[in-house]
Amino acid sequence: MASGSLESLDRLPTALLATIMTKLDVSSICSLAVTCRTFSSCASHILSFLPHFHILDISPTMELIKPLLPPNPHLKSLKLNCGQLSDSSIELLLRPSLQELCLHNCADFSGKLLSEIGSRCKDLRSLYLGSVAEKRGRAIHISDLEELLGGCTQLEALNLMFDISLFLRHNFARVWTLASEKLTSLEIGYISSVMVTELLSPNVGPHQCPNQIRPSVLPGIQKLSLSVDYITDTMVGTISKGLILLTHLELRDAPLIEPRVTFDLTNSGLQQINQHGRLKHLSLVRSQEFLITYFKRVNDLGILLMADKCANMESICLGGFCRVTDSGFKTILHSCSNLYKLKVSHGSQLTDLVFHDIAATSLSLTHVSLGWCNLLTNHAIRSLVCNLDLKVLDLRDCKNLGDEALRAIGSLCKLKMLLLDGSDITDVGMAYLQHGIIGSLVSLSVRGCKKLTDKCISALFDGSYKLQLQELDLSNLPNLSDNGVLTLAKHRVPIAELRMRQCPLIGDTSVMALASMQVDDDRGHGSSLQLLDLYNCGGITQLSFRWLKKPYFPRLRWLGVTGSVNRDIVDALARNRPFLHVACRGEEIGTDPWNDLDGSYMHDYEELDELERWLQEGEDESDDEEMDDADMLMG
Amino acid sequence: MSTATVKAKKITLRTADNHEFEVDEAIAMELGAIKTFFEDNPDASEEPMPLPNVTSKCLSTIIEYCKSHLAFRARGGSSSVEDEAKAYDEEFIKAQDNESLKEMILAANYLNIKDMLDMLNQAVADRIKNKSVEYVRKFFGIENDYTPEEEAAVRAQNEWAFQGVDPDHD
Repeated sequence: MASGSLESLDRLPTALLATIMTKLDVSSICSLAVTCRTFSSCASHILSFLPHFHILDISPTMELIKPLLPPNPHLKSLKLNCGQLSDSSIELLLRPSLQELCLHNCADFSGKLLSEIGSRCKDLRSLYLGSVAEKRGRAIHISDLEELLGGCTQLEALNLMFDISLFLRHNFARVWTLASEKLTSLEIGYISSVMVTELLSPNVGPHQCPNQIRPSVLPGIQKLSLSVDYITDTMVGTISKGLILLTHLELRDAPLIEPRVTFDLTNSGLQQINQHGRLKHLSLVRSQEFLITYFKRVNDLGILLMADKCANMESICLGGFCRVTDSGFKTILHSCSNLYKLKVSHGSQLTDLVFHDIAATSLSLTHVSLGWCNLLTNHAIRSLVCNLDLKVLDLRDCKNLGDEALRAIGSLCKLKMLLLDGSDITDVGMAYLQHGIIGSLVSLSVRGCKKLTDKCISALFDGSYKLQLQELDLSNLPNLSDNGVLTLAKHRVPIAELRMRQCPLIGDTSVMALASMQVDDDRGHGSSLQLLDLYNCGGITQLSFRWLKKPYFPRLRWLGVTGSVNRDIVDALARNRPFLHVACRGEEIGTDPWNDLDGSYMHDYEELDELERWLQEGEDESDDEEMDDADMLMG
Repeated sequence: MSTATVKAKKITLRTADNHEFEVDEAIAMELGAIKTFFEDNPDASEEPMPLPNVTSKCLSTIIEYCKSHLAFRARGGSSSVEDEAKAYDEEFIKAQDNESLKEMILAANYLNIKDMLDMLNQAVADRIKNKSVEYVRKFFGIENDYTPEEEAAVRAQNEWAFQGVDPDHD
């Protein structure tokens, strides 16, 4: 062939190099720039036509990102952690070419961010804004929202993950009529249920003349996800009636006081769900964030009435339905033949019988979450595992589950996530996981499984070769010592997140072991850990901090320690590693509270256990009277 | 009545190491450079076509790949076929070491096989993501042409992105 000569085989031509680099994320492109000059100029060149710019694991300063965001007419997707940015970055970040914009931690921005998005990013299809104007002194006005909704006429998905009830004043419903007709997905960080009802009610307010028909608000919505103060019958009814195309409904509330009958979800509210027959995903969760409280006015009847209309459901999540018994839950399993995801938390009356004949259904569940279902025993798990496609199994706080459950779980070869917090398992049980699923597991948590010892680590990892495990939670294990961690390091388990909170026997030796763990030769020295939580570990002293400095733990982004060890040392570490997020007060790290929608924060076992039990016992007497009253009112 | 046998038109390709490969026309047309050549010179199909920049090992792998994807396409565009094609690509890439991957990219670029090139580029991107600087240098066979001061400056500038500290630094 006469066509042009080819460069030698040991160097790729620059054009190909550039093509390969555009498939990388910004952070990889920048680290490649260090290899040689050609790559460096390639990298700077690429920044002017990179379609995606995502930096989420650190909060860059303006100084850092300015050179990385030159004029770029091809930039379509921008995702950024804006923890260190403010209104002054608006001009740099907001481009007319953007179709996807995702800004987290915008506490230092004002409402101007919203109005500027409306005027500068008119082609936007998807918008996520987290924590806007949460810092004191920053303000949002309803006009900012108005400009946002009016300007982004192509918007399809909108996530406003902050409290919008603070600035929605009278006539706010009118503002939402400005929203793009193409809006199909809406998620709001916090709004009151009264506002939701008012927003979606077709009826006229006192100021409008009687002949005027209000344009329908948000007609195209298919996915709705809201955090509210109280989930009420009125709100659920208004949503179900008003949103004709609804396929996904997620509602979460966090009551501050015990809800009264007019401000609560009852059987009649449940009956109104899915009026237009399109609902596929439903989530109703009452969070225990402020108060131990439940959906006390919903019982099996409500579930039956709901299940009647929900034969096409694919995913159901019910949190806090303490009065629903086995018949209710069983009805769901038997009515919804397409169900693949089932989440029940605080199902205090849910027993093994629910799953007794699950093999007789044609169900193929992939995600099962049964948190705080204290009556469940190993039998239930044995029945459950006939669903061989299970990918996620969350059995947190099911105190009666033991080694036999693990024996059954060992057969689930597609399992990726297994959470067994607070269960009664021992080292023997962990060995069942070794022969099979440890090879496919990505996330494993045995937080608070007090019977476990160092032996469980070898039981898990001895003889395993190719591991996919990324996240491991060994918190609250009183018998886990440095030897266990040494075993972990010896096996070169390539985990990215390791939590060992409140382990009294874990000390400096563990940190040293983890620091020198070499995962594989290609990634250079040092462990692959990105998150390490050692909050309140008994043996951690100042010595550990020498091993937490560079060049150890090169990838570490999140560190949890007890700040009282020595404030100066912690500060010195923060200076040595400017991109490391250090948590000293015991807060959970690496989780996004706004995304933890079912409020199932990983809690520390010491504190909540007994208190929760005591409160539950105290509640039960007065409950029945209230329920009778409510029944009488409903006639 | 005589049945006329229709002989599938075959094209011969000769590689750099003088091996000859006979392939069906349909497969040869997957290789963009060859397709273009034949469109310009329709009578040249009788002689073996020289490919001085492609080795036989490389070409045979490429031909295998094109054959499989042609078969996938013939079965239609359903999502299960797409999934199968994706799984095939994953297995294919897994089986290649870095050297053969590079060789194939060069060959695919030369032969102008658009889809395969795109897939290979993505595979290389995936392989160098999160790797140390030394690894990337070795992979592409590049030499560090920075002075020590320049290198320190570039490292400092990009410190936030750094995915691994090389053993001989810090």
